[in-house]
Amino acid sequence: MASRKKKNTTKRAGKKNRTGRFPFVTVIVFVLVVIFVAFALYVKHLDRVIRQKFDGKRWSLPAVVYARPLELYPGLSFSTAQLEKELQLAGYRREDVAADPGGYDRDGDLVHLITRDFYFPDGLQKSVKLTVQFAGDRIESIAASDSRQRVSLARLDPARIGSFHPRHHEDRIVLTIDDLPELLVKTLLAVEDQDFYSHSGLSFRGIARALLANIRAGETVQGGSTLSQQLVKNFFLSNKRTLQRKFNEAIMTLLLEFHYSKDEILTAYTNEVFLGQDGARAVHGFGLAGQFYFRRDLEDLDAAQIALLVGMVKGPSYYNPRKYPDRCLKRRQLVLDMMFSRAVIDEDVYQQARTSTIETTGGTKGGFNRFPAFLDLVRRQLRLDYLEKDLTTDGLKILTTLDPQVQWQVEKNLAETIDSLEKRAGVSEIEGAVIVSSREGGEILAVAGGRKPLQTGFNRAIDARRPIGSIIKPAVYLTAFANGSTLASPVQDSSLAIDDGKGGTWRPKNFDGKEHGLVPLYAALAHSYNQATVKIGMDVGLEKVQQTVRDLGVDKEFSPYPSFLLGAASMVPLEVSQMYQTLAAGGFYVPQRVIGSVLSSDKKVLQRFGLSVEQRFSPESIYLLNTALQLAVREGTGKSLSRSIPPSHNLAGKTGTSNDLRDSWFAGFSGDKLSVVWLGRDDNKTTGLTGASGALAVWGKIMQSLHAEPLDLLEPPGIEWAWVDPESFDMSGRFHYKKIKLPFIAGSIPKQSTVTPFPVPEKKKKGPGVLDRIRDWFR
Amino acid sequence: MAVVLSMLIANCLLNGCAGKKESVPLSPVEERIEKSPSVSASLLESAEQALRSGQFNQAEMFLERALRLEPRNGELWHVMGQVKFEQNHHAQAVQFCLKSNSLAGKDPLLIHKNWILMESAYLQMGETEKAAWARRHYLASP
Repeated sequence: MASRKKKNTTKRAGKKNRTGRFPFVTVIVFVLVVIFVAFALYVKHLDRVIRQKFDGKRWSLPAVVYARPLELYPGLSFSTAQLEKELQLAGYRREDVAADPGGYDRDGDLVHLITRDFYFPDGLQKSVKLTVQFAGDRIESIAASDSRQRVSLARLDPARIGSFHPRHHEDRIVLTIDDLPELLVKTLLAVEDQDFYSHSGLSFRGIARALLANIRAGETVQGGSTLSQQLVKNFFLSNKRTLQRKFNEAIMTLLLEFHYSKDEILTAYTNEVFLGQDGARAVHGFGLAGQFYFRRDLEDLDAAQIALLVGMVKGPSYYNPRKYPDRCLKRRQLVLDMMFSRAVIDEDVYQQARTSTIETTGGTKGGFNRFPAFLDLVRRQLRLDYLEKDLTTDGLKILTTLDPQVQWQVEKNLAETIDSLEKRAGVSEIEGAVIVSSREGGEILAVAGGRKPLQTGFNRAIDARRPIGSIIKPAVYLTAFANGSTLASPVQDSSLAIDDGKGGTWRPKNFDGKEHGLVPLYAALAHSYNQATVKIGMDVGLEKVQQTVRDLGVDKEFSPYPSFLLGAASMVPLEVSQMYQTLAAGGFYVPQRVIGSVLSSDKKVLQRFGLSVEQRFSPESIYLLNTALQLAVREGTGKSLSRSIPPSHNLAGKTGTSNDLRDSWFAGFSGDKLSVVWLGRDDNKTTGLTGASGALAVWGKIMQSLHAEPLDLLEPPGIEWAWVDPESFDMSGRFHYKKIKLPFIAGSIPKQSTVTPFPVPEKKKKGPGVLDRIRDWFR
Repeated sequence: MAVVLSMLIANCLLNGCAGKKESVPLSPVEERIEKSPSVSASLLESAEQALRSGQFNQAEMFLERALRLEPRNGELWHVMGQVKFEQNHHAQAVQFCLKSNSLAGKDPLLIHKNWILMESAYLQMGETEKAAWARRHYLASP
């Protein structure tokens, strides 16, 4: 309309030009035309900005990241405290009596909870009411609260643990017009814009009314901007109060109203409005605000809660209910007054709402980006398949493998143990990294990228590339087993000089500086003898050992130097973890995973990272190696693990220490979990710790806290057992001094041995039996 | 004295007359008994049902969930092999059977089933020699 008028004006001016004052008028006309064209172009530009935002993606929807769903079943070792902590993380509210989805109540050992609808890759899982009965630290039974029927397995909706924000760190839960409760809409219009459905974007009546109300109240109680203006302001404009901004605001508001329906504008407003700050995350929209302040869906909010949220629109920080409850209460009461006076609520509701206190759910830090090291790993994996833009704008749902229970223990034990190690070693600034995964499935359950879990930035689990020391040795021995060596093969541990591959000579030394002479192969690994290991590695071939490392899952080229055999190659903890995953899974390569699946914002499965396995080593060779790794923990360099975990658990693992005690490593596994720990300093100075005195201590504490299951290796067919004297290599009988019974690949038992038909199953029982105890007295 | 002596003898019989430095054999063979079988039973049932009705992706998801609860249950790995076979991922079917075998312990029936499935998978891949190798295994198993 405005532009048409201007055109006419220009034409009229043109006619006058011809009547006389030619040059002057022409100049004026020319200037006017230029101004008009510039204005028209500017309006067109604003129009494009408006339409782009609305027609394209209206909001950048961050990808939301979820933890693994908690599965509860009778018999599960899980305490009420653990359950409560997990429910809190997942944003559940504790109530007197759980009534709505996302609520729970607890009475001693009895927990009632109501799960929320959740779209898993296998479909929608509807909300259910559950009664969980605990007995000590175990779940005794689970029943459906309504029908009282027993439930054998219950999967809870998973906790949101983070999101990938675009710039500005905005977050929101996007709602449609149908999702908006009527009470919210009415309240919002009553307070912010009474003429919303009749004005054309700008409301002079509104301004006048607000002015009057403010004069009457003696303070600013009402703003004059319409919702459309506010939306334009929030959406496109800075907070500067300049004339140009006011001008833009007016034009854009009119354009907005011209192009879009009132409902569309209202919906956009309710999703866009800024309602608070949660650390680095900006809380946008009523949907997320309901969760953030009350842990409730919008439709579950009562009149007082809606009044509070609508009241906050005026100044989310100023009226922050957690920081300034009095101020916020006053504002809420004012909104309730407006709701009543404008017939949004009746008197009963009004009176009841006025008397209610401000009850928010307290600090709901929840899981939001609470585990930055893990999320960093998730993000890096996603970047392989998705553009950064997809991650921050498309509202993807990322279902991960994070087990919060494991993550909490990892964080706690890493920090505490480093603290005490520093005191003991008199060294400071020790950092660390931990990765815990499931033994068979390769799912990464927890990641620590440093001793301070909330610190973002340098993620040592993925980025600290350090010499791995003796952590490499299992690859050397595995190659030897695949090439005919046995656990009892004699190997010379004494000084040797070999070509270092760079034109010089390399003379590896043992950690204790001693030479141990002829030792059985298993002992060389268990005690981490360097000279014996180099001998074995050089005999079997450096290239073969490097191929073994690649087959274990670290698929890259290594320098062809013999020092590789003692771990001179640098790796990041994640690579070490993948390498040991293959050992833990019995020689099957299982790609470690942090993501289960990716769902689109409309809940369609976009991608699944399913389980896959590939057998890369013979079961027999792996069995020998893992047996040796058990011996390494039981009587070798990992012996001090017995301080935290009883030797009867038979855990398997290997220590690693780099030159000058710069890096302290331990990698090992139990019956159910694999874990890798690295300790070191960012400036690469000495830590004063060996693998055993440092990383192993952390590993032990973590595995102890996770109630690591005992490791009983399943013997493959084709294994025979024999007694060996590790000093004389005499195989002639079991009654020899210092004898040990070892497994052999069928046919590889050296002559003069006594083959035992089956091994003595002495550790079948979980606890030590009477005979075990008697035997222990003599140890 | 007699008690001490008898303990010494008992100890010698169990371990040879080793002193403090003696190495104690590890407990091999027996696999720890898995958690109550009912934990994943319902999921296995759902997976088999999905498999029968041709919903292979659903079956796979049920099994992955079950394996998260009971990762060392050889039967679950075998059914996963069946799913992979039906999805025409024959190489993966073989791998899942191998994994199942590695956890089968003393379950001849499961081992037998794995070799049969492996034979079919190898045949589908046109690897007749390996199929014959798998067949020899299941013919040899009880």
